[in-house]
Amino acid sequence: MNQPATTPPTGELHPVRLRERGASPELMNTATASTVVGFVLGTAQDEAVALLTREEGALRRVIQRYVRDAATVDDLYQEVSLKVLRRLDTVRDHAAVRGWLFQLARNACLDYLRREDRRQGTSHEVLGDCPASGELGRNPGEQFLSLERVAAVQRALERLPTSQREVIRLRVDEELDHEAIAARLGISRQAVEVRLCRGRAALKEQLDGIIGGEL
Amino acid sequence: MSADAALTPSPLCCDEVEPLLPLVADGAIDAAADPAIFEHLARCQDCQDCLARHDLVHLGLERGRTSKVLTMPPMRGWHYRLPWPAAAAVLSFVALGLLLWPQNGAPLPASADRSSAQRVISMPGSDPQHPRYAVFQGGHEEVIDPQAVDGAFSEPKPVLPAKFDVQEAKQQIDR
Repeated sequence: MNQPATTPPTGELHPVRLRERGASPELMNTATASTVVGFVLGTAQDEAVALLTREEGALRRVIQRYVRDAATVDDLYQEVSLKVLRRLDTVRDHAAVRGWLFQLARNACLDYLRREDRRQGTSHEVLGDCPASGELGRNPGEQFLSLERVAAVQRALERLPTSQREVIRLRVDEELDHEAIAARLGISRQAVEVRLCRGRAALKEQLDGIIGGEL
Repeated sequence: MSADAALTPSPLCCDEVEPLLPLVADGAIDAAADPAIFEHLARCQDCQDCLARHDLVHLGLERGRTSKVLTMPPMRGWHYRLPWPAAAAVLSFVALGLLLWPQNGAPLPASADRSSAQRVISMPGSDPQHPRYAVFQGGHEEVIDPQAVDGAFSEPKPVLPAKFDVQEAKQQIDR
């Protein structure tokens, strides 16, 4: 079952997940991304492993835009690796595989930040008080979700023109799709998308001063 | 044009991709819908940086939605304007209910509320090879013989008649 990787990539994986899956101490001591993946799925899957070996650096850089804690980056990279192994055969256009990898990595980061937000719970907790973790320092995504910054987002939202603000509120607060928003407001779907684009761009511009030094 | 070339996304530049990043953060565009945008994102550090900022703004908007739910003002009504009379009335009803509650020894009705606090103790003096337990709940007691329910202590089942007395129960155990 534990087939060795053909070309082990550099870097090491966080041992917690290996332990959870019952990995032997020998495997844990020499664990690399492709070895772990081979252990978990019981097969080499050379194509996916080769892809991950080639793109590991780029994927880690994407993850580090949202999360900077080293152990969390490793965990998220491992999640992405497993998804690649399970779903690579669903990608029909291999020329677009890098974009697909980017989307997987980004979605994993956003899901992680949302889970952290729910886990850390009530509106009274200030996520920005998370201690720095070694030389990698603060976690930009987590710090940005502190109450102070959430309040800044709300203030920026209030400063938007009404037409843009109401579209964003319907999208975020009521989770309506663009067609439903268009029907609610009596405008075209294209108009909804234009207002969303302009509104979000204006919010980002207003908040760049807050998140500018974080990324 | 070959089939592969037809499927290959045309490369885009930053000026074409950046205006669409708000829609990417919005979730309206994904790699399946528009692979060319994501191919550019996979290669361009500046656009990745810009998208990450949009994503953080979006997460802040989502968090703001959660915060609004959690910090909603409490419901207002007559009990809010006059809290202490309402509290006094509630306490009076609770006290009255406790006074009128059936005393010890009354049979535990089949529809008894088993959600109230339950205490289970091992009957002192019971045979270690054949332990029996007393279950106290809501002012009622039951003596449970696990072996009377096929050795499984999964469903409390009284082994004594519906109307039982604790002292009589203890005598039976001691025999």
